[in-house]
Amino acid sequence: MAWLVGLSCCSIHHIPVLELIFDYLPVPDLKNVSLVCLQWSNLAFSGRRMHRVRLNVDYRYDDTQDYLTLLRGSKRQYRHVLLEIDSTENTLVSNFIELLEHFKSSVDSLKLVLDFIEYAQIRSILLEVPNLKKLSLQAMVQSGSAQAANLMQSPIKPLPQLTDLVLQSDSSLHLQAFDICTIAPNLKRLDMDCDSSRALEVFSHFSEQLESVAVFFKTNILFLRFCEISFPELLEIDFYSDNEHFHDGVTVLTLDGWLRCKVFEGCKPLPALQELCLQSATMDDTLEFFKPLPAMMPNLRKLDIIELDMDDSCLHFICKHMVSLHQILLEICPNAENRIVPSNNVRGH
Amino acid sequence: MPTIKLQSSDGEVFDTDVQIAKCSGTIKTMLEDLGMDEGDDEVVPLPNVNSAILRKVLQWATFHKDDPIPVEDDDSKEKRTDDISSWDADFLKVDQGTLFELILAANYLDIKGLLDVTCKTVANMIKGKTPEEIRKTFNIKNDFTPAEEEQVRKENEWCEEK
Repeated sequence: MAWLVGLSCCSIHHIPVLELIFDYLPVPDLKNVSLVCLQWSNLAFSGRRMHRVRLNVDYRYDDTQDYLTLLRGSKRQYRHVLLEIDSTENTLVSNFIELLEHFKSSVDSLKLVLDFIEYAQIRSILLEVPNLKKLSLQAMVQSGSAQAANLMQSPIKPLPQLTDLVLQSDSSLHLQAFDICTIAPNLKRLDMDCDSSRALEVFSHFSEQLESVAVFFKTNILFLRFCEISFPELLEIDFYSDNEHFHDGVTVLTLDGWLRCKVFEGCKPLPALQELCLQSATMDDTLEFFKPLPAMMPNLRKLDIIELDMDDSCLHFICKHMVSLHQILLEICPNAENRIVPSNNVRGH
Repeated sequence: MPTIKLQSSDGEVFDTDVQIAKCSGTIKTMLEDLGMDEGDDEVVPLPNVNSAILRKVLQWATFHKDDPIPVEDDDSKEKRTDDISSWDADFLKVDQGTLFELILAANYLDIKGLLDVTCKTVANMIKGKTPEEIRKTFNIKNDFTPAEEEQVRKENEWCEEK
């Protein structure tokens, strides 16, 4: 019967694993697949693949009523939704809320990009997404109109599944009703500016539970105080700054936890920095991490490296290029053998 | 080397190295659950796989018998399709029907490596094609009403890779 193989009548319709095939397709191909036939259309944007797709609701270009009419007939269960508007007229926001209602059970990540949003509006939006896991708020939360003032008394219901929060502007925190400490009790990842004492309080509040921190400093006012916060659960930290006066006064920098090798990319030099302490840091590429340091920290005098997986090539790089160093302390660096270090200012354990 | 007998749907019996047969999760579980010992003369029936396909499957499993156990990948990410080895690419130069039967067999026999590489091959046949070209390639009928098609087209415009 072997000859029958060439004439097999098995067609793609017999495949129970079409979804496995679709998992290999990028979104533009999934779009083509969704236009092939009804069965493929329903399969293309369903299941696991919905993790990779975002619904972009852009009220700046398209008619708001179009979205509502069409998406009410949608069979897709969107997980990720983005809203972009350039005004926060109540009709637009309530139109979006109506739309969200249709995807209430599936939406777990929401990104809002607008200049301002009234407290009452963000409150109503968050009421629609009880299963929210990730919120990215690229907008300033304001108290809003006088009519909305009494709503300021009603707090936003906690979102127990919200673990990931990106807050573009920490000035939203000044609004007392917008209290992210109660909104996101189980937060694990926070990406926020830290230029107000309220922001510092929020980082402190969550410090015991955060696994990932991204923090942006516009000024250096709170940088040192931020560095004093201990994050025992931290796996990843990213901090960045765009202020040229940022380095003033910073003389000691302690880093621990998970570091990307490009953590300093784009940073301006820190000529005032005299001491760098890397404590139990984990890096994706240790040598790449050190490469920008000579230029970034031209006056570094003391380098403490405690528990780091670094080898001799790394140490060699440090000794050769970080010429300002007076002292290197190595503690528990099992892969560094120290033999190549020419200076007797090195203390090793 | 210990062998077992595998019987295809059309009755052909394949004397197979146990190690190779155990590439199949289904056969592995069957042997363990039935307490079949190596050297037993019992025949394992595979009613869902014909001899031609089983021969191809065993050929694949023989070549890949020393492969490491494939790791579970992150299902929520798009997966690569450009990492098919040249041996596999040659092995899968078959007509569509055979390719689909291999997918069915790999799925039934639970051979992750073979299922992955056959699905990748079909995905590569879809990539870059327009809906009409895809229909032609796989002989699929367009059963959309114009309104349904318009809904999908419009909705697609509002979607993008996250």
